[in-house]
Amino acid sequence: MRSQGNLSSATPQWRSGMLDLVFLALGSGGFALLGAYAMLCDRL
Amino acid sequence: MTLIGWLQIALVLGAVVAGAWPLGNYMARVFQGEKTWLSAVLRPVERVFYSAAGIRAEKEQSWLSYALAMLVFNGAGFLLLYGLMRLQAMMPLNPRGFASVTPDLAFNTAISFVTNTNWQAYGGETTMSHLVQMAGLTVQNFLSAATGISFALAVTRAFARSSAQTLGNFWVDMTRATLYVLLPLSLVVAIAFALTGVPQTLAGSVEVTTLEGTKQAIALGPVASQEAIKQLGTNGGGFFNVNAAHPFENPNTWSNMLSIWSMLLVSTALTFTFGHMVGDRRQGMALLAAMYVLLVAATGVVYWAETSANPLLARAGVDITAGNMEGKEIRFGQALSALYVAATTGLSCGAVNTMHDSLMPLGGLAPLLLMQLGEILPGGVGSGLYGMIVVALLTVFIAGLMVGRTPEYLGKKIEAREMKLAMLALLFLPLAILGFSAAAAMLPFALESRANLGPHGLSEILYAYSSAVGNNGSAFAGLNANTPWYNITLGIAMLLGRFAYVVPVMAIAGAVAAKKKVPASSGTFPTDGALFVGLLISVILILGGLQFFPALALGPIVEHFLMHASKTF
Repeated sequence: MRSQGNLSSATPQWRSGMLDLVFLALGSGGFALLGAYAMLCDRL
Repeated sequence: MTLIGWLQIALVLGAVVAGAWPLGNYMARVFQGEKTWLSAVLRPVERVFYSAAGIRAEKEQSWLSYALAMLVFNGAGFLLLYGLMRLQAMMPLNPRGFASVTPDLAFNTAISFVTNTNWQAYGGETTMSHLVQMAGLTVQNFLSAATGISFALAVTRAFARSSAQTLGNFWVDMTRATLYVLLPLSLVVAIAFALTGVPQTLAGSVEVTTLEGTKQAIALGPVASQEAIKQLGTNGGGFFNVNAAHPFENPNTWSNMLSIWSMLLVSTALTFTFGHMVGDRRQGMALLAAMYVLLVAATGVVYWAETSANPLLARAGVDITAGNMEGKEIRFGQALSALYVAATTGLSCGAVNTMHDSLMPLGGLAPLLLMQLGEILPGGVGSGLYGMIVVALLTVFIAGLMVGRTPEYLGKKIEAREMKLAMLALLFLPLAILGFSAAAAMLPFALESRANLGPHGLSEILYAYSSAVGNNGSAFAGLNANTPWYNITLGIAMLLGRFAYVVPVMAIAGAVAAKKKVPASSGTFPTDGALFVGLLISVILILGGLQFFPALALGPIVEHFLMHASKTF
């Protein structure tokens, strides 16, 4: 069964926007790091 | 356990192998560019895609280009899916008027679906609009499955070719996996699900009057189509919160058997594809044998544990002849519930028709261990095959060490570089699972999410990270995972579990492809016989045991003994 937790309550729009930037950066950064990891593996 | 129960299990598994054999051969022809019965219709469509995207289908890629193309593609998929969920409230096809998904949950869900995990820290029918379900999540169900299949093909070509610098074209493999395999299969299976009674509608809900005379809105939607690719692509993300336990996702025994069959089909078929493409079908069958021996053994453990039931309830005078029925659906029975539990965690599917948090301690140990063994039994579409090949390389290496010969697999010498990369891949899993679990087991705000104290609480945490790193997506759903800590750490775990594993595997494929094939000699260890299968199974169990036995001893194993000592939490 999927976990059903408490959904976050409404946040101010500016904070929501900041969080979007943080998570988009986290995800994109993760993919970028993986690309760097691939290039590192090429040198092994 | 009953004979009828085992016959049901044998029937479903037999049907899987019977369907997988022709599918495997068909996929081999598709990915080798040969003409198939769908070519007349789909080749022109394929050419349109290549033309529109500026892809030259005949131009192949090195392992690095292939891997980078995959990362760019999936990165873009993450960004699009995140945006879709965050803007949900302003988009059409939202008949129940759901608000936009919160940033941490959107991050977790986007990573989850892009990595084929489909971990859902939310209830689908109360959170996601039809547009997000269809254009976001279901699309990623196809694309993530196609990504896995593409990688498996690249690794297969590495062994099939000699002195090669390229492994295929990622865009071509993705397109063919989607057009020739996943879409046609999904169409057929979706119709089959609809025929068993699974709803397929764009209506938001149906209002009914309950027995008490009040009104209740029962969620509806395009369930059959989502169900088909959910199972075929070993995605696991259900339309409804309780997944395949819901009577709309899985109304009866026929839909249940179809659900298990479709979940196992493509992963099993890929072993036949592997054998076909390397020119020796017995090689694929050896891998399949190892997968299914362990899968059936795990099914047996779950079946035995659940039919043995809880001795504390027996002492309290409760009738336990049906076994442990907590969290189970009576319409499915113990046997096919046990098979579903083992199959969904042996694959990296994660769909559930039984609540895993309600399993007996040893019944819960089996799915936990199956995920920790690397999701290779038979594993997710594509990821199971290449994961099993990595363990096969380790096996021939160990065999070579024992007799003092250079290890070889399918005519390719396995040398230091390949083993270093294999270790990078294999050791990453326990590092991520145990590292994250240890952190969550110490931090107070992470511990608050548990539904149970004591060893079962540890099992909930361990299961969550095992599921995320293994890209499974099922849960001991007592754990409240919709918190910033779990949304972020599980998201990172899923991302690394999928792509940090596959990158060194692709590097292995590149190295192996470049080697010259050497003919087998009298000293070559045969990798298509019972001895190899037995050694492969031993390596899988020893590797898993060494890595995870201490954690399992503190979780489900001690819980089992405490239960028998009448200690509850």
